[in-house]
Amino acid sequence: MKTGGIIPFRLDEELPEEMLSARIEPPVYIDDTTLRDGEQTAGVVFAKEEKIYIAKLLARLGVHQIEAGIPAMGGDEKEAIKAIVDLGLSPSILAWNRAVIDDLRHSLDCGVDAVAISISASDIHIQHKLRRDRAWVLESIKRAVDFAKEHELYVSVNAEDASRADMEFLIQFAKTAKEAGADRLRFCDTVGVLDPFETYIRIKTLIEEVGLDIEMHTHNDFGMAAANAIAGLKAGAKYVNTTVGGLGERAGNAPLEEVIMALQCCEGVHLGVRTSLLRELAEYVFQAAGRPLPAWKPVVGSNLFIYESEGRASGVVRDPVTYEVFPPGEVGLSRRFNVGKYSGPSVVRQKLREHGYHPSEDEVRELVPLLRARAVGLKRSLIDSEVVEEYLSLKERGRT
Amino acid sequence: MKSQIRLVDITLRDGEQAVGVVFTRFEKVQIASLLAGIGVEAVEVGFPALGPEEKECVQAVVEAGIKGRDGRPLEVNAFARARKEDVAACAECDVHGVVISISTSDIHLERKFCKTRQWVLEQLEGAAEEAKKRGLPFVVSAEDASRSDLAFLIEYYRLAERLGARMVRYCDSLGLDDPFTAYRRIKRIGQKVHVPIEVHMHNDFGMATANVLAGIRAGASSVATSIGGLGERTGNSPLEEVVMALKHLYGVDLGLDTTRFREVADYVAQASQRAIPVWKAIIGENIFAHESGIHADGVLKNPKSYEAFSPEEVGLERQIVIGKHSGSKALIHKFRTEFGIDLDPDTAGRLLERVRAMAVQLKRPLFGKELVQLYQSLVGKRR
Repeated sequence: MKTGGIIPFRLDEELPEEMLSARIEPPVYIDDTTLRDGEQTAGVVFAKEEKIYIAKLLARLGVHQIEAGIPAMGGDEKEAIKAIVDLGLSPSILAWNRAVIDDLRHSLDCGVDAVAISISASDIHIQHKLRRDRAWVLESIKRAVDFAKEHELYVSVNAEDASRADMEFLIQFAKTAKEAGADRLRFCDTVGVLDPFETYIRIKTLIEEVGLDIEMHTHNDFGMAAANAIAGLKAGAKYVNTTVGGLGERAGNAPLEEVIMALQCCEGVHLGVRTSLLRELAEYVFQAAGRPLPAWKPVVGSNLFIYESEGRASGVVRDPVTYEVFPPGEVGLSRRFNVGKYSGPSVVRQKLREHGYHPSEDEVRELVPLLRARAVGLKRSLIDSEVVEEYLSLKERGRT
Repeated sequence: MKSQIRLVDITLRDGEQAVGVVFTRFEKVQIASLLAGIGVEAVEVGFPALGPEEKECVQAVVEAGIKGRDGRPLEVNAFARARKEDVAACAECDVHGVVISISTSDIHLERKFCKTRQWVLEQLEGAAEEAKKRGLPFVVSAEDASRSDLAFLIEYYRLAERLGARMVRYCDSLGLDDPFTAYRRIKRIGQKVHVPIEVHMHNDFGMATANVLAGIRAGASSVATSIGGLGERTGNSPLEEVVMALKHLYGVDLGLDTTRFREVADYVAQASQRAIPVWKAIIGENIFAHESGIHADGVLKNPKSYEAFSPEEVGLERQIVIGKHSGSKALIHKFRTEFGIDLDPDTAGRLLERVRAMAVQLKRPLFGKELVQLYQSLVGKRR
């Protein structure tokens, strides 16, 4: 049976083993765009000093390249990019441009060593947004890349809306970029409409047909940004464009911390970055963006290592590896136990021990339903002092 | 394409297990009704073995007699560990079905339970017998399936099949699978096990939704989801993402009323005291907010430029936000449509410079009033 969505597949399909067992071959390079695509998010504005501080943190973490902003916007934006270049950080500093010579001149003013030259690859964008044709797009790529290369810049040609582009034209687009001297092609799933398998097929095809380095730029509109980025790397892409916490247009981009830890924990690829900075970095960026960092955010959320339900807590007190793929300290978090509706003896015992009490098994058995009822009544988890108080009054009652 | 895929929502069970979340009995009934109202046919509502309060909650949902959009009763399930007493507690709540769960990974067996694989099979047998004795249809769930030895996992599922399970559930309890691994494992299970497979994926590395879709492509025919992805740690695959991805990416329509997604999510957000992030995929307030010049211009010419589906489809609205990254075309559009003022290109260009400077200074986009004030001070007209 065939389906009729954007992604062609059959429900009785058999995906090739070659695809399913593909492994990511290091090196993998991270190009973080928190300062460009992240800031482009509706409602988000970073102050110049925030941009500088974020760039420093990204450098300390150890990303390969920082996409610092859009020089053509002028004013404060241009100054911030210049200031970041002047820091002399170890990552390459890249600036974003339309495929327009004037934009590139602004980038040159900032002293960046790399540029992204962006232009749409899909007919829907070319016809409706640009109101041009494919030939004009190819011509623009050539002109812009020529100019950038004359000035010895590292060039990424960004194929905007590549996921909705006609594959044949996308190949032609990438070949044009390569022939003009581009160093890589950024494959943008601008509206986030691919799944990992379709991503894999397209990236694999591009690499085989063109032989240019590929960078993954994925969006999270259907919740698959991280998975699609990983799929692209499996197909042979070498670069991945991320943002801290997934900040970015609409539902955001592939989150830096998810990509780093998925590579490490699910794919066995260690990037050698300082992951212990991830929580601090996320806190800073969300503060600067005026957004709360959800407690349940993958990798860096404050709730990830809090144990409340008995099922998990009973495993973790015996051995954290039962429910932890990596230890909390690895991303700058810590482990905690919370008493709530789903808690049982393991959490209660643990909590009381933390406060220097050593309840008997009978006491624990008696306490659990009391504490659960209290959590249900209050419609929240209990704070430590409430647990201790309940225990002490139980003991009190025992004495009288 | 008409869908053969079943969806069971687990907001009221795994969702409630999220740290700090407690639903009242009333809220559980309300959420179950809302889910039935948008077309969800099956829900998992709680863990009766927890104690009397939880039992009352589960019973309340059953007794509410909630009917789906087609008039058929909402299928209400409860969760049980593979223990007779847990299954009995479910049966006492008069639920329509039970999910029997136990860990199948050696890591859990050795380090959490200090038991053998044989023990797992015996536990399952005991619990399944109890369910059969009480006439309860049951789903057999394997916790930590993604870290389980595949051969043993298949043995476990085959036992479940022999015992009469209506379905087996694959749990990526730690969110460790990637879509390629998930596909491969579920495909293998499907070749050996002849009852339907349900997938339950966690989001620890941001791949829950992708893994659910991978499971479906590999032949799973049932998915467990929660509203907004509410659940343990990073949560589950969100109902709204799975439904919309199936519909728009695969062309598989589960027939849910997507226009009420936001409404249901708002209720769950209130009840769980967890705000929906403005950038939450599918239902976040900002999903259809466009600020940057290129995006706003593209959307004004044709919304399809930057929107995979229209905002009305999920009960949201499109907004053009004017801020640091805005371009003159969006500014001209805003002034014409909202303030009835026609800006000539020169005025728009000069106004844009002031707008950007002010947005940078205020560190936020500008409100309508601020825009009009800037315009008035620029053209020197005051009323």
